[in-house]
This record gives sequence, C-alpha cells and structure tokens, in this order.
Amino acid sequence: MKTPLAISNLLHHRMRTFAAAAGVTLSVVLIFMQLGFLGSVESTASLLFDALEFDLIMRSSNYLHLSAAGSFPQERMYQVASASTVQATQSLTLGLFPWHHPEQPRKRRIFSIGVDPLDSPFRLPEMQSKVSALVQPSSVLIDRKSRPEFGPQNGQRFGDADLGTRVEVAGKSVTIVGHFELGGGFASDGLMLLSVSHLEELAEGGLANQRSLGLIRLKPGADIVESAARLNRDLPHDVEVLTRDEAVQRERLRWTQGTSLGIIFQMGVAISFVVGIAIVYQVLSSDVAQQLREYATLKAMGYSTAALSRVVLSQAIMLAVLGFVPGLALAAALYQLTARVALIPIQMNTLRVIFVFVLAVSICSLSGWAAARKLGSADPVDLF
Amino acid sequence: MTSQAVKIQGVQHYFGSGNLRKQVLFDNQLQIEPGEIVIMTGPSGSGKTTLLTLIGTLRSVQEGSLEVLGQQLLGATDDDRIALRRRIGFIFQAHNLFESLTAFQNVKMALDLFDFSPEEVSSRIRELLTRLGLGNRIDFKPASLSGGQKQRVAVARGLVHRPKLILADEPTAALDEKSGREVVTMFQEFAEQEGAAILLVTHDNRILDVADRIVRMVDGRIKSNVLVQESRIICEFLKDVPVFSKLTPRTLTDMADKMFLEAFPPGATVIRQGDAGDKFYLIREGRVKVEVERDGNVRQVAELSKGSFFGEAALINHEPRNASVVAVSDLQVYTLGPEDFQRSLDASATLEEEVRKVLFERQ
Repeated sequence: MKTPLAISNLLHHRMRTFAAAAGVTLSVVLIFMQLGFLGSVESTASLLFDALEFDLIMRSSNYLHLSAAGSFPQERMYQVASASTVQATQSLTLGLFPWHHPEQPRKRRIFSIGVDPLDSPFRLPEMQSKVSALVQPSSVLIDRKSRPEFGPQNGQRFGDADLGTRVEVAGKSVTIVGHFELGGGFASDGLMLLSVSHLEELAEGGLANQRSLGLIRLKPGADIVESAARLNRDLPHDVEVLTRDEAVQRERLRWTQGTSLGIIFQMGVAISFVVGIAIVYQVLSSDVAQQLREYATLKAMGYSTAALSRVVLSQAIMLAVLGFVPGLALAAALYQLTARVALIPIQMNTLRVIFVFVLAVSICSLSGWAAARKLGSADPVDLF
Repeated sequence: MTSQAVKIQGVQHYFGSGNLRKQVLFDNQLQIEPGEIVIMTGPSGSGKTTLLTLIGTLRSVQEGSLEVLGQQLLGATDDDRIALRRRIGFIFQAHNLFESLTAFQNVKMALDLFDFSPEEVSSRIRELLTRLGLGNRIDFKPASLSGGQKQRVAVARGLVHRPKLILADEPTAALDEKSGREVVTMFQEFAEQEGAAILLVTHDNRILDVADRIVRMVDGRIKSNVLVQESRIICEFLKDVPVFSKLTPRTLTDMADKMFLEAFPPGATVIRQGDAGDKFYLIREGRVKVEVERDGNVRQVAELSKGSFFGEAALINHEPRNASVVAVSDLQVYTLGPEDFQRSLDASATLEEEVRKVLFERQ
C-alpha cells in the first residue's frame, strides 16, 4: 500500500482540516437552505391543486397565479358540463380580503376560497368533512398554518380555542366555525374557506356570477389531453383548460421564473458555492505552500507534478465528504426548525442530497485544482 | 553505455537571457567512477550547486555532454529525467520531511515509486533506520525527533532505494560529530557494497577523509581535481622540504591540491634559461641538473633530487629564468601555476619569508 499522504496531512494539520471542512459545511448548509426555500416555493405553489379533486382545470385567460387568479363568467361552467366526456364540474371563487382580528392591532389580507358547502371539491378528508359547516351564515374555516399575526388564541396556531371567535373581514363580522390544515405558502400567509355566496357577499357584488377556477372530472376512460384540447377549441378565449400536470407546472414556473424568488435563491446557491471555493482554496493552498519544500523533495525523488496534484486533489475530496456529512445533518435540523417557525413546507429529498453532494465535491475539486497549481512552483532546484 | 556513473564533458551553463545572460559554468570536465566518493568544495557562488543540480537532472543541460548512469542529459525529455531521478539518491541540507508522516512513512515515500513487496519495503526501512541509530524512533513523527535524527531519516530516504548515484548537499551540516561520522561511514559502505558513486558538496572538513577525490570549484571552473592519495604524497614532500616545514597542514594541502603531475624523460629540458617563468616545480621522483650559461659557457651549478624544488625565483621576481634545468633520470615533478603560487605566497607570510630567505642564501 502506498503511503497515505493525503489522509496523514488532514489528520496532522487538524485545525486546518477543521477550518476547511467547516467552510464546506457552511456552503453545504447555505446551499441546502436556498434549495429548500426554492423547493418550498414550488411545493406551496401546488398545495391547493394537490388538495383539490379534478382531472382538468379551467381558469380565466387573465390568470396570473392563485392569488391573482382573475375570474370568468359562471356560464362557462355550464358549457363545460355539457361536453360529452365531462362527468361532473365544480367551481371555486378566490379572493383576498382585509382581516381584522379584534385582539390584533394591524389589519392583514387573507386569501379566501369560496366553495359550495354541499359539494366539497377537496380530496383531503378533514377538509371534505368540515366544508359542510359553512352552510351556517357568516361562517368561515381558518387554516391552522395561517401566521400567528392573524390572531389565534394561544398566540401561535389556530385551534379549538378559536371556535366561535368573531373577526371582521372586509368590514363585516364573520365567525370561525372550524379549522383545517393546508398552507397558503408564499402567495398568502393566511387562508380561510367560506361558502361561495358568503364570499360574493364580502366582495359586495364584485364577483357576482363570476368563478375563479373550474374543476372538471372526466368520465372514466376519457382521454385527458384530448378532452382538454377539445374544450379549449370549443370554449371562448376568455378561459383556458389545463390538465393537472400543466396547472401544477405552470404555477411552479410562475413562482420560480415569473417572480424574483427563483433567481434570488439561485443566486444564493451560486454565492454559497463561490464562498465555499474561497474558503477551501485558502486552506488548501496554504497547506501546499507550507509543504512546498517537501513536495519539491518528492519531485527530486522522481514524483511527477501530476502525482503530487493527485495528493492535493484527494485531500480536497476528503474535505468535501468531511464537510458534507455535518452539513447535511445541520441542514436537516434547520429544515425542521424553519418548517415549524416559518410554517412553510421545507423537506429534504434524495435528489437534493445527491445534487448538493455533487456541488460539495465540485467546490473542493475546483479549490484543490487551483491549490495544486502551486505545486508547479515547487522546484527542487530551490532546495539547495 | 559508459562505465562512469557521471561523465561531464565541456559543460557550460548560463543564467538569465538577453543582456542579463551570465555564464556560471565554464567548460567543465569531470568523471566519477562507480564506488567513488567525490567531495566538491569551493566558495559560495562558485557554481558547485549548479553543477550538482545539473547532474541531478533538476536543471536542463544547455551546452556540453553530461551522462549520468549511462543516460545522456543533453536534450533529455522530462520523462527521461523523472525516470533517472528514481535511480539517484538526494540528500539535502535541510531534512524536508513531511511533518504529517512518521519516520517510516517518510522513508517509504521513496520506495512507493517502485514495486517492492510490503515485506521487502518494511524490512529495508527498518534495517536502514536501525543502522542509523533510529531503531526506537521508527514510528515517530518529525516533531518528536531531534535535528540530527530528522537529518538521518532524510539520509535513509535518500539511500533506501539503493541508488547508484548519491548526490548530497551539506549532508552533515546539521549533525553533531558522532552522527555525521555515522552518516559518512554509511556512505562509504554504500560506495563499497553497492558500487554507488557519491558526490558530496560540503564545507565540513571533519568528513574530508572519506573522499577518494576532492574537486574544487572556483568561479564556475573546476580548479583542481585531486586524488586524495596523491595529495597526501605531495604534502609529505612539501613537509619534508625545509622551507615549508613551518607551514600549516592547511596551506600545504591547498598547495598540493593545485599541483599537477608532469613527467620528463632523461635529458629533457624542464626549463630553459631566458624563458619567462611560468611554473614552480617540486621533484617527486628522479634527479635534475641546474645549468647556468654565461658568455657561451655552460656551467652546472647544482644537482637536485627527490623533494627539492626549483623555478621559484622567476615567479617571485618576475624575471626570466636565470638557469636551465635538465632531467638527469626519469623525472616526475609536481607543478604549480604562477597565480596559484602567488596566492599561496599571499596566504602565508611565513612562506614568502622562507622563500626569500632561501633565495637570499642562494645568491
């Protein structure tokens, strides 16, 4: 077995190894967090779609995103319902209203979903069962993932203690009759459900006979893509029909590419990457510089520069592993903390772990490669 | 293939380029035989390190022929040079050990370049370190070793692959007398047992006695290249000459180092009256007669034999030869050029005084 010079160097210069590994850890954590945020933007974008039961979805051609969905005339729903492949339809009306909790000093805007209490469009059992409570006049269901600024009794999360609380929404008094869990994500930090007629009332007629999303369920065996195409051809151009995948995909793109969120987090990843290279290069190059005479001696003995570069590079790769493992653990812990404090869905996934590991190895390889170039100046002639 | 370990012919070397180009080695010739220990001395800046790095393939040969272990280095490729380095053992003034590796591992770096079995590697390293008095320090890192111990590990690293040529730069400078002695003794054993040629650059006069030959470089030129055995003989002669008896052994050796051996058949004229004086002579073997010609008559004034010297008067007084010297029998003389003779005079007031006294007595 050849002498393990790279490992020995790492073990011997412990402070240096620690500093470099900590640099890798820092970058890895930063990158994980940026990717985590980006991932949560994507997953919150589709939260509502995931909760709804539909094959195709119809929306206004003015649709921007869920909290700026625009609306279309209700009669489009009838037109859709008469199509041959359509089994059933449901509709939602979306709105944003000022929310004023009696015990909270500041007003907030709450994202509101108007549904038919007698015909729940939700897949989630909890929501499906609670929607019927909205038949009571002036009643709303509140999302437990709404931010604490909306005024839960315990100061953190809406729960049973908030049942019966009266809140002023759009200047009118409403009563919290239940709670559910969905999460509004980045578009809105508070979410409530109410009946369509209640919502129209709050909107003061602004949304009368208008719908925001049309949910279409197809007959068994109907071709989804073909049905969507036929509906798009037959319907007026003030609406468009999308498959579930298209709707989810466009919502995600809308958030990651249509807003600055995507670029912000991608820049964050890039900067963390560069910071990692700077730290690791600094440490590795001072390691090489300090042992330049020794490396020069090896050259005099007949080692090629390439062989010595491999020593520095393997040192770098080991640093990547040393820094990545604690970075992964730390990021996983921070994900949990963030999910709890910021109430956004942020989770580790295998693909991201692999991707960040590749980045960590790239950081160290690039630094190692740059540091190894110093070996060129290790000239045995200088040893005399 | 040549049999010499090192064969240098007409090597010139320059530093810098364009107007700043400066010649540092001038037309050097040197051969080192296998098993020979050569010590190279000379003032700093004399070019001895440059020559050593050329031989060690650490610099490219610019002009002249330089063969090392049968490989011509003029025009050699980088791969050739790297391959050759593995057959050379380097020992530097500084130990240059990796702090992160144990003594054993540091030495092993030299063997990692070859395909020896693990048992062979282990036994060679342990044996060598033990011989160098480090048997109980094998698994210590440099931080736990004294300066002398570190240097001995570096020596082991230079020898462990049994090179046929060992190049050492002040290998004993960091060692106390006892350790230095152990190291040079090991060099001698290596030269004898492995037939390794050893070239040492050193100013350490404690180890001069191991040299088979001492090469002295001055200003980029090999000034003298003396077999130590021969040098001793000259010193013996010089010491027995009454005028040199008070000289220090050092001055004697300096003179001896610079002398060349010349031979003349019986009847040959060694110097001719009236010629310019260019050499000082010391008779190694044989006899000469001294003849002075005046007004057409040749008169023998003296006969000199083994241990006598002549030719000094013209050098000191810068005059033409005042007599002719003719070999009477087979003659071997050591000769010293005028600059070196003058330098020896300058180096020793005593010598000059003695010589002047002899001259005075002769008149």
